[in-house]
Amino acid sequence: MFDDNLTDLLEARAADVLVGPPPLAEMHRVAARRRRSYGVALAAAAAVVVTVGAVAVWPDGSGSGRDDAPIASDSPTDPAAGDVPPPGFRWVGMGQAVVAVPKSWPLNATNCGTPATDTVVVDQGVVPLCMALYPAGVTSVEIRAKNNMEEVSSWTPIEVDGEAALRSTDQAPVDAEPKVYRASIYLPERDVMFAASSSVSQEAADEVLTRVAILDALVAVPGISEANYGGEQRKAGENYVRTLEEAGLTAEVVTERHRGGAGFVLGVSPTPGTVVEPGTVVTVTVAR
Amino acid sequence: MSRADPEFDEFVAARWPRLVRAAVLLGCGSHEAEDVTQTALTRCLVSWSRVQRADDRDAYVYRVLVNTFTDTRRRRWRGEQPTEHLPEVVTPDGTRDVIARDAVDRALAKLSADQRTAVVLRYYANLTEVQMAVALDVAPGTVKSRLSRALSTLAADPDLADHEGHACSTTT
Repeated sequence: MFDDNLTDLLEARAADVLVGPPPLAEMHRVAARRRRSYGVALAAAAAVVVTVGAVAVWPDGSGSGRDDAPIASDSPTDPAAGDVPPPGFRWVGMGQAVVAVPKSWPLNATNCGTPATDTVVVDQGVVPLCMALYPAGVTSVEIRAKNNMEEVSSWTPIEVDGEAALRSTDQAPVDAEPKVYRASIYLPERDVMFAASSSVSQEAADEVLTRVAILDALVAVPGISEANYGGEQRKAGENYVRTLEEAGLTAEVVTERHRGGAGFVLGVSPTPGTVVEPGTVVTVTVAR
Repeated sequence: MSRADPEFDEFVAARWPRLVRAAVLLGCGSHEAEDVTQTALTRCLVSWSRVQRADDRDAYVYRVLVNTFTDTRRRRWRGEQPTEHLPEVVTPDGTRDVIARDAVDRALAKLSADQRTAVVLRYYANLTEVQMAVALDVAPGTVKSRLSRALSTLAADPDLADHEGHACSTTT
């Protein structure tokens, strides 16, 4: 059989290759430096607003127009290649804090803010005021900042990819029919909460959190709610572009006539929570 | 030194030669293979907890190795210009081993990148098809079809056919 011989052929070919000892010290040195430098590099990255055809120019909020954004794919030691989600999963998150969710899970498939099916919830924005019960057989995870109601001081200290984190302890299931089991991980340095819920079982909620990670280079597209509702609405677009730039992303602003107030961010593409390479162009649609 | 370091060192010590040689079979020169393997393992070290959580560490590490190699080739396509004259070809020293080695290199070079990767992972790294599906993030059926097409191409390669028996006799 030919394939039986193929192993022998490859072994014989590979045996010719002289291999030195592994440069362990160098690997440790580079890894330590990289762990220290990523956050700094991303914070320093500034993006240049691109204009094409009818696309409007948005003022560069940073005022610097620096061109040293860490484009991961051009780096000789591209760290993005280590940011690989498990097969069949995709990253969704805030900043570089992410969770791997099944590719089949839609984003924000909610009804009045309550998951309607297996879903990942990020930057929901305004939630309609109505009551929706958590359906049976559903598991979900919400990624957001910690809200004022959450008391995390009694949570268990853990580490996520070497970073200090807190794990919820004994969150009682929501007493409804069906019961909703909960589990959360909070990253205090980033103010990112991963709140998993499941009407299947406690194990299902816990299992979602086993895939929380801190990425090395890739970054999530920021949410628009903070820009839209956290300050002056007429400056929402401008503020969002600044947020994108601070995340190391490039904004391309498109204006659209809209009956609402000018300046409001109507949408972004890729959608908030999507994990992309630094320098990726994000199209921001702003009301005029 | 962090808690992960001794475990990482042990992992690397056990796998370094095979990973470097796998990189050569993927298409690297011998020095480049050490660089690519070093870069891949450094990435693994940066996120060692992710490697620890992986269901199959070897499949995960080979996945990072293949991605690192692919990145290297992508940069080469973008950044390197072809030279007007090819460099002088090194004349084989005439031994049968060198000829056999060149035959394997030429045969592998005729495969597509995906097929070549599949062959190296299956027949050199000794990953199962399930592990390959994890390492390549493709369906098991895709692994089978890539291997099947690669084997057809290699089986029809006249250079390789001349050296099959020799390879077997040197290793059995």
